[in-house]
Amino acid sequence: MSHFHPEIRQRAEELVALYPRARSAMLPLLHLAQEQDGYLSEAGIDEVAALTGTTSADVRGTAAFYDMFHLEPVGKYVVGVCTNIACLLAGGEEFLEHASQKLGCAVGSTTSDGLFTLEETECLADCDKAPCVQVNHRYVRTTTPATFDALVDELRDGKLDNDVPAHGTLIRVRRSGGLRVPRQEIVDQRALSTAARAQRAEEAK
Amino acid sequence: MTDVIRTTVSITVNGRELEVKTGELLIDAAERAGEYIPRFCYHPRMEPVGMCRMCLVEVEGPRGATLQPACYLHVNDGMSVCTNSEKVKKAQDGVLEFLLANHPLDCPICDKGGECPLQDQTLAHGSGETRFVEEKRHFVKPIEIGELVLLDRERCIQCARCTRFSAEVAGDTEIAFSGRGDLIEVAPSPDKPFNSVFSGNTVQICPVGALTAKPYRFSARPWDLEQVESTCTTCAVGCRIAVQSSGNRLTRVLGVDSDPVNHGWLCDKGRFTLDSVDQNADATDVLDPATRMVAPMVRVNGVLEPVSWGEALDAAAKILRDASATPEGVGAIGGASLTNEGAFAWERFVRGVLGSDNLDAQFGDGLDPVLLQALPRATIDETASAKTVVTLTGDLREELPILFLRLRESAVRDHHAIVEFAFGPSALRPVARLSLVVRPGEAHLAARCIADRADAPTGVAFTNEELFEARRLIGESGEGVVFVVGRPNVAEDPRVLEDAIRRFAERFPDAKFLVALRRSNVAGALDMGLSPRLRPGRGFELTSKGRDTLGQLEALRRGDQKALLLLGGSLLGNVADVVGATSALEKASVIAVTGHGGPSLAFADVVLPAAVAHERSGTVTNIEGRVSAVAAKIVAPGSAWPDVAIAAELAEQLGQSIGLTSVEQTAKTIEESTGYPALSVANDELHDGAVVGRLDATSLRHALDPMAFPGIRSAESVGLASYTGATVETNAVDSVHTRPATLDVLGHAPNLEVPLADAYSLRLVVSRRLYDRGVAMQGSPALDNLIKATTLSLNHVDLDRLGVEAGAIVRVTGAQGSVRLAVQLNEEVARGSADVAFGTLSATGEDALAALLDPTSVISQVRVETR
Amino acid sequence: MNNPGVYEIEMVKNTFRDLIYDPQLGGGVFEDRAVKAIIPGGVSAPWFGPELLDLPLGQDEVGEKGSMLGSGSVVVLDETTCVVRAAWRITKFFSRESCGQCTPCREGSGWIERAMYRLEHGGGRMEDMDLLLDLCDNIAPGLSWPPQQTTICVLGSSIPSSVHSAIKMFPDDFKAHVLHGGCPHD
Repeated sequence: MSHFHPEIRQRAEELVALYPRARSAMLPLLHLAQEQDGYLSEAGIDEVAALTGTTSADVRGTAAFYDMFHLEPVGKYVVGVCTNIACLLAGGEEFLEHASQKLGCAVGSTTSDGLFTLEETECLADCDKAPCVQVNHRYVRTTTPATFDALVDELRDGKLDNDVPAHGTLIRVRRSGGLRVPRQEIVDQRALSTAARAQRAEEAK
Repeated sequence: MTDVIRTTVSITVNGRELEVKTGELLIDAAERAGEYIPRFCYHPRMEPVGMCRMCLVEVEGPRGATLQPACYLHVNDGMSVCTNSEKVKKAQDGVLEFLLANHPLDCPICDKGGECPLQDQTLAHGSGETRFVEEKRHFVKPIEIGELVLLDRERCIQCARCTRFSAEVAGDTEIAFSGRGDLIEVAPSPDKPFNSVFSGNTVQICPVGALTAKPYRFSARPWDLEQVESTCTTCAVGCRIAVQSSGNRLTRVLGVDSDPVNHGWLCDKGRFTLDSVDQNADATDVLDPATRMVAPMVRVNGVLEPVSWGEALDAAAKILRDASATPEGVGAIGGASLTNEGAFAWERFVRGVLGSDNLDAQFGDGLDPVLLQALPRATIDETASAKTVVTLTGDLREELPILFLRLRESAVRDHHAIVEFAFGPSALRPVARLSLVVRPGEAHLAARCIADRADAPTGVAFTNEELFEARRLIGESGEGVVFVVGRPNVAEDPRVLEDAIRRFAERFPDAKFLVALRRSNVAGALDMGLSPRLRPGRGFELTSKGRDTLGQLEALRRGDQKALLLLGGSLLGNVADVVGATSALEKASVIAVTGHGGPSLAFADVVLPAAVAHERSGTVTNIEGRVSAVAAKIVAPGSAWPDVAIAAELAEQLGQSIGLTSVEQTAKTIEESTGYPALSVANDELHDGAVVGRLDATSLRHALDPMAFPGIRSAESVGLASYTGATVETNAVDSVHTRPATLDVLGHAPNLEVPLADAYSLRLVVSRRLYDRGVAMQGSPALDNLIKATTLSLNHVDLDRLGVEAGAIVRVTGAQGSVRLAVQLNEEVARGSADVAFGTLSATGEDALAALLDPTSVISQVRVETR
Repeated sequence: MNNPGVYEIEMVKNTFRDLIYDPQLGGGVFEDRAVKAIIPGGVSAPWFGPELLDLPLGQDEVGEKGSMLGSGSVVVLDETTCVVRAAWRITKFFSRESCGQCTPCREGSGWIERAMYRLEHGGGRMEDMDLLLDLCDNIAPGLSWPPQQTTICVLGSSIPSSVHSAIKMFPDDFKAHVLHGGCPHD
């Protein structure tokens, strides 16, 4: 009956158990739901409501407050371009327009192949690298049209699958065991991941 | 040094020193002192949130005067407040201008226009010109968010009254704010429409026209409406209502804030079924409850034909005269939908004119009225403020919705304990401190275990831990405890519940009881003596050998009783054993006194059309014994009469008199002959009715703030429009003259033999739903889609055991036959039992439900087969 | 800036001029343009003109001059910057980030944002400056520092900072927008 996959369901139940009130786990659970479906589906919201002892309207209202939760399906890559003051002064608006043309979709919409969703964002807290761009909430540090175009091509070709996982994915390394994983194991896995990434960068050279 | 708890503090408002209640909100304190502070989001029946900022006032503080919201500030000793400075005025005007910025200018086509708090405050304080030249915010115009409610998001001013009501009062949170900033909107979940049984309240408290009610939408303009204040008789809670009409057409019912009863709230059934009264001109089928009876009828050659009142009364008198020839040949069933005056008139008619003790306002689905009369009674207020409430009822949200709201508030806001005898699904479950699971045939055992400090016997659903906790919460003497008692399961012998109730009453002498019988004015009808062993004014006569409803139906089948006076047409829609009742009616000569059609009329020989709610004046009594006035707003259709007149004329036809000539004079007679509050209540504009025998429970009415209760004309609404010229000196009668019953009169407790559970059977719970196929619902197309299909609800353990999937159609076999039903999973159903809703099947389906009942046993058991 | 970045420097001992022009820090304004205005501490902070470049970077020093170091993110508007556009964009931020709970913030930020957008795009009127200042006053009465507020939280009372600063410091820029029928910088 559960909409969540068994592993997600287990992590969800562990999260609920962390808080004195189940309701407090709502935001982490919404991230889990989004991780599974790529956005917050009706069934995912219903399951979060059931797990937190709230209602679907309540959960939906909470999710709708936050820009990082999507209530409609989005692309595999959600591209966010900041146009707030520091980025505006650094050409953020022009950059956004370029991104729209490069991707072939209007701001706030998704490309027809379902790969990219383009968003105009408020401050992403990386002002000294303005104009600031994120893909799936990861800084990509592309500040010129040329580097942006290269990034989009690489994403489209799947070359960055290991660095930028699909929208909704919370952590790069999938661990079995959820919250019960010993701390050292997490540290070790993270080190392995970093090493692998460095090696890919080396090979690219 | 002694600690003195101060009940008042002094504050200064606009230079004037005031003594106000400790801890109350500044906005309330100022209002009582005549300094009305404008507001939108604040509602006196909900927690403040300080969101709209309309009530900003200047409050002196350590850093000088600052603007603060008066709805969010509790008064402190020495607080100094200014509500009328230039700074305050500019801030309030600024907020009003902000609220109007995006508000559309569609007042001429808005339902709220003419009674709109935003419109009124703009007229009083707003600027004549707008400075807003930008494009206003646009949304798709009204969207249907529920079966009864439409939302116009452009008009919404984001005060959160509706969403707070949904979360805080109703507790079902079917709507919530979605989004952020000026795009914030009220929204239900897309696949779960806003169909809360309390949805209409959000429309009533909306301070703009954002939420409108589908049944009322575009049907009238506020300035064309006339209003009387009355009491809702859809269930037995007795909510105060304002009934409004346009000419002789009922348009709207609004909840009046009665402090001891409903706090301004109503359920949607009470609010929206008014179209069952006057909007069914097309309906002519007498078997259809939607049809209004507009002329007397007599059966000629098998068909009911309209006749004059003279002919109909003559025919009725002949039936009664013939039947009275044999001893005990006549009787009356029904009366719960009457006013107290109507019930008193028919009581006089049956006992005085027909000389019969065969009369009963319950349909065999209630409890022993003598037991109920013998219990020490609690008011609704006492129940809501009791430290522990024990419920032995069905789902109160389905049976007595506003009582549910009061108990929920008591548990959630005041942290009082609710101990629930869990007979089946219940909306109180999430807030109950303890849910003691009892299957059919176990309630009296649980009561005995609690009373006698005994362990749970083997095989029952409740545990020793639950019993221990229940004992702890009830305490030694039951002081501060209220037992709410009803009839959770019509498939169970009422003696099970009666035994439990009596056990508690004897063991816990300081406990009080709230009698939660659900049907309309059943409490008033019983108090007026419509039961064999009861007499008017809460009197009783134990020696009576009169027959109750089930006894009369049995006597009719046997042929011992020949004629039946049906008071109201809903016998077949409410009696559990429809098959038995039908065969009884087939044999009887039946006189039906009713305002609505119904399946019972298939057996009527004479139909006498009666005025119904909103067409008649008088008094009614609610579950707590509060007598309050009902008022006539419209004229009854055709030649329907009030019941007092019908009873009086029928007596004349039989050459006798009941000594009653009008509703007023009947009310006067009730009060003078029994001391039961009647005419004094009808003429009392100062109090919220009067509780029988409880002068201490008198409650003063309070004026209604139009910002909180838009649409209700408070000043002109009080009193009974039709009680012209009648004057009475007394107010609030102290007590009834009649000797009250005590537990001693009940005799020995019966010995109940509950059959042992067998592994293949499930014990049947037949529970009640708010949206059933009763008279009110059938006449109301507005609510028709809300009636849920009847299902068989089972716990997952039993589903697994039977190997049945939720949604499957199964064959359910009972003592007298079988029926096919869809299976639903519901974990609130006790293991080993099955829940079926009563009165939600079509008329033909009820016969089938009756097949599951076992009249020979204390409980009914069913078997479930997948083929 | 030539060197945008995150710098950790000692409070009070340095000035805005040090932060902006020190080669180890900001390294000067891009293309050696003149400073038109400084936002001393995030978009909630009222702006300073170039006359305050030598003000020490200290809480009290900045506070006394009617603004704050706030988040510590200093934004420099150079001589080529359109202050109407800058103030509009900052207001748009507040409008989008307003939670929507209380009226002055929810409706005020949206109204001011739309009016500023209109000014920037050619629909401006001379009376808009007074209107904008009065709307700001209805959110933060008195437009004093630290601000008073009609709102629940201080996000609301931060809305007026940029618009109030821009109108007070550069009224001619606003007038030019009205007379030019849009942004003269475009």
